[in-house]
Amino acid sequence: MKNFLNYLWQRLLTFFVVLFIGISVLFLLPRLMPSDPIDNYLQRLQGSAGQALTGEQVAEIRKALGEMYGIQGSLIDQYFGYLKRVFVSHDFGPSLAAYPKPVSELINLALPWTFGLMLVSTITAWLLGNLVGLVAGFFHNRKFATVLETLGILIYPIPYYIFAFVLIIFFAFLIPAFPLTFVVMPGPVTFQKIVDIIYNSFLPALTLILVNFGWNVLGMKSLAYSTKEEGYVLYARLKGVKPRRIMYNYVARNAILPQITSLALSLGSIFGGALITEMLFSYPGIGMLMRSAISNGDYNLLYGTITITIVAVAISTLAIDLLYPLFDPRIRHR
Amino acid sequence: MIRLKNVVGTYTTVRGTVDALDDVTTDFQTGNIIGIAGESGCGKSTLLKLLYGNIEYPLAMSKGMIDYGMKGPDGRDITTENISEHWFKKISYIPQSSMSSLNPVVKIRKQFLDFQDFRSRKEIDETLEKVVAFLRELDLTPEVLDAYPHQLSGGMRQRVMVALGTFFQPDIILADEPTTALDVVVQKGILLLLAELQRRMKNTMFLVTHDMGVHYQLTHKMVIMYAAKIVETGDSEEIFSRPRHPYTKMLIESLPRIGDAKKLQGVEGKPPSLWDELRGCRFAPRCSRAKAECRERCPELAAVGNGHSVACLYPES
Ligand SMILES: Nc1ncnc2c1ncn2[C@@H]1O[C@H](COP(=O)(O)OP(=O)(O)OP(=O)(O)O)[C@@H](O)[C@H]1O
Ligand SMILES: [Mg+2]
Repeated sequence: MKNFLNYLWQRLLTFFVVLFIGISVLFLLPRLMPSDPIDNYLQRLQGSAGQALTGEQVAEIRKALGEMYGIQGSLIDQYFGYLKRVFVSHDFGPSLAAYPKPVSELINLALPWTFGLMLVSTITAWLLGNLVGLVAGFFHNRKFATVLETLGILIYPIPYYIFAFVLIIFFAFLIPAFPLTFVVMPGPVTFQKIVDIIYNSFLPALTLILVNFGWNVLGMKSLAYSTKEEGYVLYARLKGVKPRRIMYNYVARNAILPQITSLALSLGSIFGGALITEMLFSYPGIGMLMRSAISNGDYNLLYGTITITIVAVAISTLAIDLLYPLFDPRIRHR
Repeated sequence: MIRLKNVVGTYTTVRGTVDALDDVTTDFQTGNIIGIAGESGCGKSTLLKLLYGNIEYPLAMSKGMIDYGMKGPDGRDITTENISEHWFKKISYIPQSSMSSLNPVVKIRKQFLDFQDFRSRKEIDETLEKVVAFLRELDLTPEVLDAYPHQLSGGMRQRVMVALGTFFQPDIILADEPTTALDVVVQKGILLLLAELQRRMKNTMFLVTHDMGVHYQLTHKMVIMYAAKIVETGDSEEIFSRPRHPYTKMLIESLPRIGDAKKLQGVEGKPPSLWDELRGCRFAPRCSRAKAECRERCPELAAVGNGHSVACLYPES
């Protein structure tokens, strides 16, 4: 029990430290830039206004913008104001491009899409990849195992965007089985709408699944292979335990432990992949928001989307860390 | 009687093949504790692997055969080919390291049940009842069943291994250095437990250990091995009181005796490499009694009376 509490305490601490560092870096980075976003904005405004703004007008805009961006007062004041926005009020101000819509509203609309896509594709890829990797590692000296492993080796180094392009070309363009871009009508959830969502999300999900699948196959294959050499597997074999049972109760049960940890890691990296995937399929998630924030110079939106990504990754990692003891009695008991 | 006829155990390596058990012919009388002694690398574990029928690449039984003199429940003779069907029921093995031999993420209970498929909950409960009764006989509380391996002490774990290996009352038990990883007091407990169980079940137990003191106290028969050969076999009492092979004598003299004024004799020199071409008696280069003939002619294991056999051209008297 003491062991478990220790573990719990460590994980929680890590969670907060990671979150804190991520958020702080995010706060500091733009402030280290030599140019001031408000000056930039004023310059653009003056350029497009055609006529010079008066000093009074400039001062007023400056003040309004400063409030909106949270860049008033000393760095310390700004920092605490920022922490308050992230952790307490969840308010990132209005979006600049879609003024006066608040950033949090845009994020709330996009988040379920990204989360749904991430969760379904990560978990599917993890389950399938581990199953295939287990079989490939356990029967490593059979032909079909080599075939499975080769499959993994071929798939995993291909970047998301290449995959996405290939899938789009084949399944949306050459054989128009799936839509080129994402179109789901807003409105109440009906059976038709769910079918629509699955149909429209299929290609983006497949892209993410394939890439993570390859990664999981390779990881599990080598883990299963080395676990097979463990003393307890040899002993089980010499005990006369049936091979199937050895594969599941001995090899899979032990080899899966590092894979659970790696699931937490892949959740982080998959957010990066989601950005590109969402852009290519014009999928209405956080990635798309982030892209439009970048191309529109929408600081508030960019802040909001990156912050939410950091929080989401940290929370999913924590969730997996907290589930881990369920699978490893050495952490649960002592 | 378990009979080995011209058994050769060969390992295949990148350098070529090596015979780690070279043309061994001998009989083992059942119902005894049979001690196997000899220096590191002489082929003790290889002999046990062949006996167990755990013959997998890189090991092969390239010649000879083993006659177990046993029949399975189906009435067929047990042979090297089919012995794996009888693992733990007819022949079992107790591993060296209990820590690495138990599945770390599964309770001991499950590791007592995965030998077989059960058709019903009732069957499982019946088996568990037997397991609990058996554990009690071994002075283990049934609570160990609910523990994970890491929650038990080394001694407890090794008792669990003994329990697992003897639960089905197999006819043959192989124990390859079953106590090396344990402290001396715990070691003694485990060895006494093994001896006690053997006395009750009257099975044949092969015990490999480097500790000649253990062999002296526990075993009924001894097998002395040297460089892939068996050089002497016989009743333990005979072997220890009247060793006929100079190598056996050397091993026994390495044993400390209480009140012994003589300085302890270490075993000098090294056994030959199995990779070299071996002519004549393999012990000859280290033997103080070796004659010219010893370097030319390889002695066969031959009976010298009293169930005692020795492979030496000029045995000690
Ligand atoms: N997997 C293997 N591949 C190649 N050669 C091996 C292998 N296992 C053992 N050998 C060789 O076979 C010979 C006998 O080994 P074995 O393990 O039977 O010795 P042992 O008497 O049990 O020694 P120890 O007392 O150290 O356990 C050794 O010379 C060793 O080098
Ligand atoms: Mg050995």
